[in-house]
Amino acid sequence: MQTSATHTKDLIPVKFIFGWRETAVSSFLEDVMKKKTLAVGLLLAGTLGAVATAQAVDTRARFMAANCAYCHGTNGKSNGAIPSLAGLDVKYFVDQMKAFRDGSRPATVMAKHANGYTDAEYEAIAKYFNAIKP
Amino acid sequence: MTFDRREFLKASAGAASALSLAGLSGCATSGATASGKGPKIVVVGAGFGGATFTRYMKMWTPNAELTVIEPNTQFVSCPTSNEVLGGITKMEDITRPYDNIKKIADKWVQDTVVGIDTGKKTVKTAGGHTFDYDRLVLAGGIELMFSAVQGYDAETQKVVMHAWKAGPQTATLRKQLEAMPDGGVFVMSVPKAPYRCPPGPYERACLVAHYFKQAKPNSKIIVLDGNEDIASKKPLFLAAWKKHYGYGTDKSMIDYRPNNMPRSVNAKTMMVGTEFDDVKGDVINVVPPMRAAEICGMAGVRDGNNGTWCTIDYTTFESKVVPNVHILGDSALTNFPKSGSVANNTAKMCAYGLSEIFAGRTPDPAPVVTNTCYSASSDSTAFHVATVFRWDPEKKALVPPKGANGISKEESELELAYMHSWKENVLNDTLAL
Repeated sequence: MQTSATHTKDLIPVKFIFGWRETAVSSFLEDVMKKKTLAVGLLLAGTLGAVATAQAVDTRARFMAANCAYCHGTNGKSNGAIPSLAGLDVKYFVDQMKAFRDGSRPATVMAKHANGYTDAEYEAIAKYFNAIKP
Repeated sequence: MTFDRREFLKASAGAASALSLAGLSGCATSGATASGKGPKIVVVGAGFGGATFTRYMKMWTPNAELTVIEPNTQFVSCPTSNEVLGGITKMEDITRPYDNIKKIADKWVQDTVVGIDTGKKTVKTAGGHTFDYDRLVLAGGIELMFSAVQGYDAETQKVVMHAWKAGPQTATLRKQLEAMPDGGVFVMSVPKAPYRCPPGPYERACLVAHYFKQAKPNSKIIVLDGNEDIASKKPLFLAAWKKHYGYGTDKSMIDYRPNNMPRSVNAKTMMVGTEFDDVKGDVINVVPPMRAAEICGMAGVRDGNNGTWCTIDYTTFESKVVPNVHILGDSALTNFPKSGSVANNTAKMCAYGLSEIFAGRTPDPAPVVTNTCYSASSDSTAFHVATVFRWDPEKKALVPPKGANGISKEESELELAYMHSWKENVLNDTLAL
């Protein structure tokens, strides 16, 4: 197992913002675009204006979480037999990844995926999905 | 009252600046161009690579100005198109609308690119339009090299399908299989690696055999493989061929012939010629050799593998020979398989890298990217290959860590359910459905 890249170490930890975490704001933005309502748009403008200058997004975690989307759905919201990841408890997510890695939870594809990430990356991805409303 | 996004942006300068701040993470100037707007990105091709890139680029750098040029009116998925050939699903099941990705793009251009000037940074279309770019994203998939197979001319192409780009070719090949009498011979070929979708031909043999088993049990499939052996998921395909289609017995529906590259094809005599002999078929399906899409030739970025594929820098998928040109999906020369999942995932890698640059940061020097690829072996079973690639500073390459690469132990019904779930999720993720 290799160590994760450290270029995002200067980022401020994820916090809740108006009930959303910063990492979820982009997906929220896209949802709003789909809804296309002025009222929501202006609320969004105010929300982002307030938070965007205050903190940075953990873009590496966001990208790694996006790696999961082709199977688990955009933002971890899945259709069909593959489980959703949105809103999962952080500890539960990390524990499952460790269980896939050591084989204590039987799996098809997940044993391979679990071996591709570090513990710190499990945690970062878990936090990203935890912040998304299921 | 409803607004579209562009009207909304015009309507509120405050909203616009907030949107750009969200994308640029407080570093608002570095992504801007001389005009003061966001970076101008022209995306050519809205397949798994181009459409995913468009969606995620807009999510991660909202002020990027995205022009998407795509000749087709709707998206037809290559993954799971073999299920159409096997009579398991229909064309409408692999077809999706571009409606939402059109809304995400700032400009959607239904057209074909006919010229690229990487010096002037412009793209010309058949419709007579010219678009200038700061960054050009080429996601055109593959160009089939018909001239590499003698006789595979325009007339022959009316009869002999490749069905290696899903769409009318898939529908026609299915009709040919339906019209074939019981006891007929289906001749199909596998191009030499690297080619789009390594397990695809062997899955095709499975699902056509599945159809024959139900509807035409005396029929045969001859697989002419340009490679020296089954190029992907070999033990799983061999097991499936044996279990379901009698492979290895005198009743086998599948006659597999390695080192049998088709050299010629004749639609009048319905013969395929290889170095060894001529093979007659009732339905012929020759997949010719392929290279990176035509647009990559126009941009002068087909520099790798004897001028067939495009070498890229892994952090942003930028061409190694022409700056500001990024190559996504099957056109890129990488150690990843040319799969829908890889096109989807690496498109995000490119959007991630560019978003970091536009935000004034250095792209992630050690990205992680994945492939998960399912193949159906019958109407009720499937199996996978899955790999995580991550940067290895010693090898200076993206390689799988220990245990992060492998195939299924065996086929299963569960994995077919996962495959169908993957299909819905990857299409929704790619097309913002």
